[in-house]
Amino acid sequence: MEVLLKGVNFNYQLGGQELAALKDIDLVIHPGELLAITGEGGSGKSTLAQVIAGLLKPTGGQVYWDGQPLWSPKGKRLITWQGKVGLALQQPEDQLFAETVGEDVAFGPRNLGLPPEEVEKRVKEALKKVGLSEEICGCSPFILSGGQKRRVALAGILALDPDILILDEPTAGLDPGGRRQVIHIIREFHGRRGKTVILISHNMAEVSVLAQRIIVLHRGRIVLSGTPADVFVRGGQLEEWGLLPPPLTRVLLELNRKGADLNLAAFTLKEVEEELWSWLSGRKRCPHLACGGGENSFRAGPLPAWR
Amino acid sequence: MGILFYGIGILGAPGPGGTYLLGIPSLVAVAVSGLPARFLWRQLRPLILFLVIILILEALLIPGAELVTLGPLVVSREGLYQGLTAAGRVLFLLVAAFLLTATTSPLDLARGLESLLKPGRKLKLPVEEFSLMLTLALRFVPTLLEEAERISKAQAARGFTLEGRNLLKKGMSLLPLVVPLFVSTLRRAEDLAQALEARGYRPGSVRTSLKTLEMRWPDYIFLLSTLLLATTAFIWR
Repeated sequence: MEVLLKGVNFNYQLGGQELAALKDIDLVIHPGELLAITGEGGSGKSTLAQVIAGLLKPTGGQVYWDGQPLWSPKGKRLITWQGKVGLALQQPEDQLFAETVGEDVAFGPRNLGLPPEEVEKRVKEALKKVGLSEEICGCSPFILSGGQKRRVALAGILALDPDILILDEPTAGLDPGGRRQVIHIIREFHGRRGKTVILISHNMAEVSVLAQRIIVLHRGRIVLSGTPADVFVRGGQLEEWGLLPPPLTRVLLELNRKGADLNLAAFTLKEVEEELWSWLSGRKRCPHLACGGGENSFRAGPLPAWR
Repeated sequence: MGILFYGIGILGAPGPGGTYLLGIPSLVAVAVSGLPARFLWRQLRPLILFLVIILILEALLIPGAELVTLGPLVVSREGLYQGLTAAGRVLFLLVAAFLLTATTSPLDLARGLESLLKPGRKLKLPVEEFSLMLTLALRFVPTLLEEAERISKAQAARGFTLEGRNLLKKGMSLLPLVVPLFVSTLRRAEDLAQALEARGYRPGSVRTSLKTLEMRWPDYIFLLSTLLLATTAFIWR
């Protein structure tokens, strides 16, 4: 499914005053893409996610799902809910309500009007996708750990079998293990044909390893859009927009500040390593880095979970 | 306290003349308060229909000397008189209540209530606890509204709608909204209790407050004048 936003504005009503959350957003989301929306707190990320998902009606402009306008001029929603867009809001575990995990995950598919056997199949599949065993079905969702609750909540959304999965800060507040699992769930979903993922996060480390395209929001406007390399090249500017570049980019930035001439477009571990080696071999010896141990120190294990 | 006297005065006022005369101070107070008139209008607008209905019902239903006759409907003099009085009472009470809530923060109100209830402490009533409860309840109204909206959005993304043919079904369909709200409220209450304790709150101990309420001469004048208004209204009657 393709989503198109044309000249979208969104204002919140706050005590009789209008607060602009989104200003003049033009955006196309292609089927099968893994898009990350980043920006500092209050930049409009969550609002944009809800507009894309059709939960908020934009106060200006139009949203198109597969070329069909979503809102009538009078503000009625034109396309009925079919579970095509799955949205996990921040802390999705807050949505759990049923007596058992199985019932909760079944809520969405049941609302789709599927026959009971199909619902059951969807529930089993969804739980498997999030790495939970079927035995958990009969448990109350409220006795589970934070990470498990979040995975149950995600299963409840995956059970809809949406075309687009929108995740708002899906890893916030999870331990490293929980984060890894959520990232795995995102990758697995996106690996299937034509499935789109929109990841909302200010965690650039996470964004850098997942996203194909990154959008940076600042005060309700899209200030930058491009591939991770395009975005991280602007290293220092990200900080002006209230974002912390990923750790590897920060290493390069720091070296550049000390007089090196490194290409910031390198952002994966491998690219950065190559960039550093070619820089080091181009010079005789770098005075600042007590070299020698270089090889080991750049081959660190998995990325630390920077926030 | 003043508004209480004022309320008694308004309710006791004889006839429309007296009611509207008593209404004048509240309008003066609104003017003095510096609140934009538009704000007041927006608050009162939805109630105007209600007031008009009161007026019409009273005018039609109370028997008395005929004033206007429209087919079977008879508008009586007494009815019109009563209707105007009732509508006026409600209107000015609302204006006064609106003025109070618009100019005084809920926290100050709760604190004021606490000091009013102070004599109750001698009777071993948990006055402080009561006022804390009230303050907390007021404090969490907007939070709960926000939470409810957030959860209803999350459920809407899973196809949640408020539908159902009969009342039971309608009630059941609210569960996905109500249960998470309860869960988060309980959790929040627990967090709050711990935060309170961590910052040294002990139930039953004497607390001081950042803003102490003091009676100054304008307050005494206000109280006295409202009391006077109320008594004259009753005597005049």
